[in-house]
Amino acid sequence: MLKKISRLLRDHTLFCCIILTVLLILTVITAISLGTAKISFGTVWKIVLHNLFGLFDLEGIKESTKSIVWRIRVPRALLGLAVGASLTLSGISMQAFTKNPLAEPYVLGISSGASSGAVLAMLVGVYLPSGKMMSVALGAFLGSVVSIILVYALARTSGEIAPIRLVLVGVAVSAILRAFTNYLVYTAPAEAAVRQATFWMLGGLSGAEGKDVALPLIVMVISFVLLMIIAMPLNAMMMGDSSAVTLGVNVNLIRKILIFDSALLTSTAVAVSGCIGFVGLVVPHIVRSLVGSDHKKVIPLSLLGGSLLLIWADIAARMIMPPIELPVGIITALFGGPVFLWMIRARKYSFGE
Amino acid sequence: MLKVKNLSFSVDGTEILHDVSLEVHRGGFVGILGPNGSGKSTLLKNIYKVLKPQKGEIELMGQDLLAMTNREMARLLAVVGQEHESSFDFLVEEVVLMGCQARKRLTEGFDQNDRKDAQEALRQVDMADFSQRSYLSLSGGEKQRVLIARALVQKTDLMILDEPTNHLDIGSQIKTMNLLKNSGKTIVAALHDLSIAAKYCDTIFVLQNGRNVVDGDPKEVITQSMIRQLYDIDVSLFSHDGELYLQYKTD
Repeated sequence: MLKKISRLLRDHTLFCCIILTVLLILTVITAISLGTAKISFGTVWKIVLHNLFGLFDLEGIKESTKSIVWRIRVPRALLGLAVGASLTLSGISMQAFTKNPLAEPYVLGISSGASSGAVLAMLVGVYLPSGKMMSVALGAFLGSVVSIILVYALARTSGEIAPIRLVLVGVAVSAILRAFTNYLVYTAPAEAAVRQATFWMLGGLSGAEGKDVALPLIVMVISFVLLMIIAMPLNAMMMGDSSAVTLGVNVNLIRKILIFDSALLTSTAVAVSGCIGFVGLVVPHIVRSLVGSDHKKVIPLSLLGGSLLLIWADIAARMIMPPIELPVGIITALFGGPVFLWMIRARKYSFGE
Repeated sequence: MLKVKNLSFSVDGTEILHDVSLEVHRGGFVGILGPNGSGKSTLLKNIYKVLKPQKGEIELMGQDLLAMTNREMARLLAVVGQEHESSFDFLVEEVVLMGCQARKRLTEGFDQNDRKDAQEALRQVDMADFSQRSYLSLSGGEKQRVLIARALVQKTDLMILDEPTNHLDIGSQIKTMNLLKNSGKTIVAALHDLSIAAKYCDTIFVLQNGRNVVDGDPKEVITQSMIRQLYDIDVSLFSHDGELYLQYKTD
């Protein structure tokens, strides 16, 4: 059975991508219709198609329903799609850069940097030169960029970044930043702010608005195209940097693209949704175990898989103990943590070469 | 075809290659010999652009190799290095097809001809039935043969190999060397086995402590005194039907 699925995915990747895309559309519709107020599939279709293409008459549908669907649930589902895909693509970029299947923004400490930035903005109130208070999203963005630069700079020796150093430096930087964030939260005076900060540190998609969705979607599409263009050199690099050089790959250029791409993806995803761990680790791993490591197959399949996983995790986060919403980061960690451990135990994955 | 002139290379102030010069003619089979740490791999890595020499010139087919892009180089010379490990698995066919990359545009896929080339290369290295197997599941010797097939697919006139017979049993060693000898390509290979070097190479190039101590015809280079100087062991040499035989003394 598993062998058949594996062959189908490997030999008919395009066909499988189309099926997964259909599945993704159905998942988005499901995510929109489920929630505290249940809305039927038919109504969701009508409202979405009406707003997109002017089809259908919306008579008989309450204003509040239209508003819930279009202003709250649609942005949330699309954000889940963009963030799930971005975290997965970011995982693939980092895994290619470090040649280590265990690399991921959460593991390398970049998510911790983002949460430090966000919590700092939220609890302490950091003021910009314009005198306005810095927004949480901007704080997260700056935090993740700072931590990426920090991790890469500290891991760099004589112009080279050794994958093993990168992973170890990531662990250390992550611990320091997390301690800093915890200190801020622990000593913060206002309880409501603490809960908000905690929710953000655990990762979640709630509170998504239409304006939050565009940037992550654009970044996701751009980096998908970028990664597909360099898919062939990426494959060669998986066989080792020296081999890649002899096969004609400009290894330095590809590495620069990967750093830039992973920084952009992680910071935008974390800025809108907080720290959602393990998506970038689990999805590419499952895809690789089915189709091998050819990036031309791994990238599109993982993108779709990451979106599906995160939207379903978010549905679970909403449905497990209504009306309370769990942070989706808890769900992904409960699911992803064991998979991570299984990966380490089941195969001879090791840090370093 | 390949000219290395006065090449020097050092890492953190320690000189690993000192003023090395080497010339390879079209169709030649050049063996690079020397004890462990003599700089064989380093010299080859300087030639195939993984390392950058501090001093010296390298000319490949009349062009300045140091000024070439990796892609231009990969169309002129193919390399079988010593990298065999990876955390990422591919099909054997996928690994061999990587040899076509240098002549493809980035977004261009592999076509039927490329697949035919890959299958033919696998047949040449006796791995025709392995094309749909996982690369990581192969033994060291099988991986080595797949990498040779990948180098064949690059369709270059020059092939550089770093200890190609490592990991191979004696039968596969002979088969591999025969394959290289009959490939019609110009070969430069770092070798450890003196008998094999004597049998297959038409020129032997000896490195010791990063310096070129001697080069020339195998019969002139592989001598009792040279082996004593390089490896600090005694050996009896005799020749029969024009072939060189070695007997190592162990006490």
